[in-house]
Amino acid sequence: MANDQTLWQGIVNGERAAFDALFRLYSAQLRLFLRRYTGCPDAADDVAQETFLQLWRRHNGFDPARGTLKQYLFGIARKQAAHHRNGCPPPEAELATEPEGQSATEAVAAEDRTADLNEALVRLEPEERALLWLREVEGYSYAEMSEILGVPLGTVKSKLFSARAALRYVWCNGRKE
Amino acid sequence: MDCIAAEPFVCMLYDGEEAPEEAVQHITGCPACRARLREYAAIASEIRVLAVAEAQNLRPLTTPATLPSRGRWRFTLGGPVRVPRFLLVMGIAIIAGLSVALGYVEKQRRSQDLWLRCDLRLPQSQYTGPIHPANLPQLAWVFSPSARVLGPRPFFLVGPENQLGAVAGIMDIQQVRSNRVDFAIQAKHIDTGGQSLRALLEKQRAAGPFQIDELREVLSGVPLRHYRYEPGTTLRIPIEGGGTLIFHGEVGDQLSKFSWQEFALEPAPDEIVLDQPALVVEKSLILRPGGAVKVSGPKACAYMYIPGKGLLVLSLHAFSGAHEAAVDRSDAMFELDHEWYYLFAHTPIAGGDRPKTIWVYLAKNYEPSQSGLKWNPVNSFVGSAQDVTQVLAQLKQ
Repeated sequence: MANDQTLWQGIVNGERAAFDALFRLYSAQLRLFLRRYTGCPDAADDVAQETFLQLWRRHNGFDPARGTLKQYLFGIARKQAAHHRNGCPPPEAELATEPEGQSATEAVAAEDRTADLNEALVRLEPEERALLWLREVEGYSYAEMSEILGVPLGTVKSKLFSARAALRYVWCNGRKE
Repeated sequence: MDCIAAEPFVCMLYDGEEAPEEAVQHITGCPACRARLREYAAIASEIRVLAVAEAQNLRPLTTPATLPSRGRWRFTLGGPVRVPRFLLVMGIAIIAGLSVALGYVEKQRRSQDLWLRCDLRLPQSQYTGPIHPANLPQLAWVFSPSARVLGPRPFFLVGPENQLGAVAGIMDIQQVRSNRVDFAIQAKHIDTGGQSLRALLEKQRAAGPFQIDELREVLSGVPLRHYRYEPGTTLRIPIEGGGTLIFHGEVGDQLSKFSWQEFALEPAPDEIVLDQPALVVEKSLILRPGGAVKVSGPKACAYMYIPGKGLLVLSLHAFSGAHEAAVDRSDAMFELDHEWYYLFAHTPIAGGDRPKTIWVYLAKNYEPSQSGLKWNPVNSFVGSAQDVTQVLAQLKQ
């Protein structure tokens, strides 16, 4: 698999194959992040497409010393998504089929818990959702998230804390009826 | 500091970010805050489960058929420009000066952002712990220069079954760099006069916070030993009065996710830890987070029963029929029978190098109800054994 540097060099050189490879590599992760950030799957897909095109147009914008290509891509996506965040209905929870090997009671309990958590996630502010996603799914540090979301480090800390507190409430007490 | 004040720092500690020393002290000693850490780990795991579920339902998105043309500004601005020679020299000098200054600042910044995670233990000890603020299952410390938590820390270690006596000391981390750690340590064997060490510990704990000045009195006359430690290696430190302490540490620019309770901050290089593992096969969630096991030893293995697939055996060492798996902190990825496996847990799976190679084997014939294995997991789908070859032999029977 080509690494960031090879891919970026290909994009700088105007190679379509490099663009396609980059798209294949990161589009799914980017779309999942954008779904959480915008709260709207259709908008997320539009923003993801526009993000890759923007990267193609601004082929002098990436500086490897400032982070990874993926981080740069997420940063562009965040800026693009700012225009799409409002006016979308909250997403429906899409849960996987319950794994085999668990008793019916365990499966129902686990499904309930995941559904509760998903619902709580949807209710968070977009930035809080995005932060949790970047931290837990993508594994970014506070400094990297601050760069991607364009917010101060203190905001990352406070929003992540309030997001976790909200989720923890649901986790420990279940969904409020 | 109380739990309410420490709450935001639990979040930061969980994420491996810097937190004030006072908060770290409180959290390590507070069961409620440690429980909160566990809850955060569980929530994180569930969010990753959600991510897997969403990825599974993601419809394909094709790349744009045509790509937009790029601007040609570089050609229009590419013509020659006349610049006076002195201005050119001055410009080069300014750029060179700024580069050096920026390089220096960056180097300083990076050296200040380094963390040291270290364990200090007695050989073969079953229980080690500082007398204050709490008796962690293992004495594990975190130091970060920029969090201003370098400096002396008292410790008090107890040997297995209270047979080795107690060791009191002060560890003073002085400098943390990527390739070396400078520290000084005093350690002394304490004669307990036949009294139960556990009782002594409880008594001391009940008496209130342990003061470092009291310990300095106890350690007066004990030589202060200075060490230049290479991260990742194991260092043996002699104890005044007999015995050896084992020090192990790792330097990094970010703390990993960790558990403060059941397992060490960082698995030892010969350890496999599966703390609430979840398994994804080809984008499908096969096992939800659950169960926990820790095993160490040259032939040891951990295993998980995967309904419908068999028994997945994991070992740090290669064995017949095993495939390589890449472990990076709490994630492991591997391919078996042309299927892609993604295993993730609450805490790091293996210690030592990163990423690290471990070995996995899927025993497809394993069925819990039919195998007759003595270590057959009944209620849990994770387990461990000291000898992977014996496990394989039993599986072949």
